[in-house]
Amino acid sequence: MEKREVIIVGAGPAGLSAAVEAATAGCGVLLIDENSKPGGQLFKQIHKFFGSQEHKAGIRGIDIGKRLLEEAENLHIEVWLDSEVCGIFDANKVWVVRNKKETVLLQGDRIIIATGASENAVHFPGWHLPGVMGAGAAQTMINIHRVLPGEKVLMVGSGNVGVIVSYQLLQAGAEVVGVIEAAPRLGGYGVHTAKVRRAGVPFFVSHVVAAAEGKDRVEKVRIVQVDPRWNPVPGTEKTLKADTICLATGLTPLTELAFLAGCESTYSPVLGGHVPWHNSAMRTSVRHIFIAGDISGVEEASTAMEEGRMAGLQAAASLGHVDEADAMIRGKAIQARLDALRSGLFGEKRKNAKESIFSAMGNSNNGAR
Amino acid sequence: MISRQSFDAVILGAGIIGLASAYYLGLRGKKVLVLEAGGFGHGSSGACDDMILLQSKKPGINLQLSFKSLELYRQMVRDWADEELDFLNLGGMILIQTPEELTIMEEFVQQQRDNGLDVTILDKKEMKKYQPFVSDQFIASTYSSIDSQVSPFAVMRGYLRRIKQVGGLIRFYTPVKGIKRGSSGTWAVETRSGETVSSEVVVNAAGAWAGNIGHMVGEYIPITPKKGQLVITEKVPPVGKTNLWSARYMVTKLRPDLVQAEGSGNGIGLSFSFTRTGDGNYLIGSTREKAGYVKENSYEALQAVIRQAVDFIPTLRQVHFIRTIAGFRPATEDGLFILGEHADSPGFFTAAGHEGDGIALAPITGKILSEMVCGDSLGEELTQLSPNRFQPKEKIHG
Ligand SMILES: Cc1cc2nc3c(=O)[nH]c(=O)nc-3n(C[C@H](O)[C@H](O)[C@H](O)COP(=O)(O)OP(=O)(O)OC[C@H]3O[C@@H](n4cnc5c(N)ncnc54)[C@H](O)[C@@H]3O)c2cc1C
Ligand SMILES: Cc1cc2nc3c(=O)[nH]c(=O)nc-3n(C[C@H](O)[C@H](O)[C@H](O)COP(=O)(O)OP(=O)(O)OC[C@H]3O[C@@H](n4cnc5c(N)ncnc54)[C@H](O)[C@@H]3O)c2cc1C
Repeated sequence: MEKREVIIVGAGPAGLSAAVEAATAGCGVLLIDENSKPGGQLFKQIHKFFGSQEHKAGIRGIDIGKRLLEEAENLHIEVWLDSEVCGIFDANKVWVVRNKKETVLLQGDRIIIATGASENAVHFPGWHLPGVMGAGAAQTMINIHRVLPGEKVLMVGSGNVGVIVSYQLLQAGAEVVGVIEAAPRLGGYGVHTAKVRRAGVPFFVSHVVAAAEGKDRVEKVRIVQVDPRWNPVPGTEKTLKADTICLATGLTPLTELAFLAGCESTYSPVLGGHVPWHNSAMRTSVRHIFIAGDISGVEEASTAMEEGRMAGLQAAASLGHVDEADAMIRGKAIQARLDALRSGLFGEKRKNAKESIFSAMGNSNNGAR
Repeated sequence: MISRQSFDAVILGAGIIGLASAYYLGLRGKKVLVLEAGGFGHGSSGACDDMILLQSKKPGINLQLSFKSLELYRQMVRDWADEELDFLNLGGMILIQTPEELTIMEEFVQQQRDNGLDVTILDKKEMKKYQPFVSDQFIASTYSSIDSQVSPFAVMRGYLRRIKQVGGLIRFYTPVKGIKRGSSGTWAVETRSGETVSSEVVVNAAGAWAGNIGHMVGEYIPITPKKGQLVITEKVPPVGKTNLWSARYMVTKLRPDLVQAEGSGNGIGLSFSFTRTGDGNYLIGSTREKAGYVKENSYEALQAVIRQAVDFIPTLRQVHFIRTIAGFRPATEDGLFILGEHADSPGFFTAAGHEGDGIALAPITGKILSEMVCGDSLGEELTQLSPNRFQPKEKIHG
């Protein structure tokens, strides 16, 4: 069986940062991703990122991705693309299917799982019709493959993903017939929302999809207002002409690999649901397995990168590549940056959620094995 | 916090057996409390196939009770109109590979027919009519129209709702750590968080962990975990008309000695089972391993299960496998489950040890258990299932 010191699953911002950190410390690193290009979500983020200066705010996601890739290339990190990780066994064996053909079993002294998150679906009559898709999928189509998913789009969900993708659909030449939001107020940051509003797109708060209709694909959508208990209000139905419905209804951490490997889980609604238990060093309950990025709680690319650095650093330190005092100082610096990112109204909630996970791990009977 | 401190019966384990027991006790007017160490579906009942399989039963009490259990499931489908139980009656076929297997199966089928099970042997041509996709290596098969299936999760959810409707309580994440005999002859059950509840009746329905519970009262309950690993496919159009097993499945189940002598299955007890869920995913199994309580899937077993599936049904090569699971079949030494009151511990009952048939046998187990607790007069044949049939290998102290 082939061996590597550190195997990283997922080459998004978290996995790439972890790879750079661990390789800089002197670890032999293998980075694996199922796509034919590394970068995860970054390469479809053509907009300027929010956040602080230090975290590359104002820089487009795609450019952050390019910089990370350059760093990884300069370090000669080994990268396997078109490679799906299908399982992790005995806390150190990684099962990879390469190019949909070849099965490989690898052994890693440390494993970092950075698989990101997947989009949530909502169900309504007609949800199975062609034309209903995740907002992330629509974003991949326009920004990576340069294909318009449809001409008249209804966006479901007014959070950042909903408004950013709406704007990018407009830029790509689609008409956005509306953004609907089930909650009584809009969810996205003001800057992003304002841009879409200025383009003349109507927003409907307290509205949900009643049904999508069409013969072979979506042709129109019925939406309906809901009361504070989410029950449809009779007489408020509207029909919109649309050929595409994009769902921007939140993300769920992609945790299967971690749970398959036996990592204990904990539940955190703020962070997207069930996530693997981890401590501030990003270590899970299974010794030698670390996590980073959206899998450990859905946040942002900026936090994903810092968590990646933390996991890379701690994995390298646990292998003896970084001396203890040094690891401590650098770990504290990363933690300080994470804390800074998790400030403000939304950030504070995530900070508290993270901290309650860290302490849950300390208290559990299922601690490290 | 448990709001009351005293119950007619405390059931340990909220798997399908514990929930069925609580449900039937509730129907008899008993105030029940169910204590479960993990969450909903934490044990074997949340990591298994969905078959109500009659063909696999040896003539005898298992087969008789399976008939009754199937009848109770049919009644449940009628009475619980508001639940989607995914109950299906697709029938089942056992695929036969070798002339030796055919001989064993012919004999077995004859015995089953003598005991009232409608099952026949099909030749290759007939078999292919039902199963056009199976590979040519199979020379014949059995067929029975009676084999059925049901979603274990849906059944458990249905029991759960109805237990609550009659005032029963269920506490998840509440492992039991000790059981003591109180001064007034009632049992005191202590949870890990230090709460104590008292009850005249304690029902041990802890599946593969039932032995640990027995230990708490000094009773010897020889149940060991036999691990099974399954692979789940994406939703696909029907592959054949019925569910499938290999004759090897029967042989590993009926004659483990033969399989061991052959040294086949690489020590993982590999055999084939193939069932279509109500949603259109297939569950493909499985292994029968002595692996202690290690719940993780293993690469070797998954690879063996998948290789076998593609070998038997080549078209599966085009299908995605999306999930894997592993569960512990609670197995006894003699292949019969345990149901009854322990002679030396009045009021302490065990309902566990159903190995690979707990889903099929859950309703009848719960029903009989409730009758035993209520002191109904019951058939002689049930003594075969008594927990008192085992001789302790060594004296245990509670
Ligand atoms: C529309 C939109 C706008 C956003 N805007 C911002 C923003 O302005 N600022 C910001 O900071 N953040 C933003 N984000 C969030 C940010 O993109 C994510 O938080 C970040 O990408 C998470 O990084 P990650 O490395 O954890 O996961 P990902 O970027 O999702 O990368 C995970 C990678 O792992 C791969 N993978 C998963 N499973 C396997 C497997 N089994 N085998 C092999 N490979 C696998 C995936 O294919 C993927 O390539 C935005 C997100 C969206 C959708
Ligand atoms: C791969 C596989 C396939 C199978 N296929 C089928 C099939 O097709 N048809 C069929 O009929 N059967 C099948 N079975 C068998 C079936 O799953 C079991 O017989 C059945 O689920 C046993 O139910 P149970 O309630 O006894 O056990 P479980 O579901 O395991 O429940 C026992 C519960 O007790 C709890 N517990 C343990 N210790 C304590 C404690 N100290 N305090 C409180 N709670 C505790 C556990 O957490 C657990 O939830 C299969 C099994 C496997 C593994």
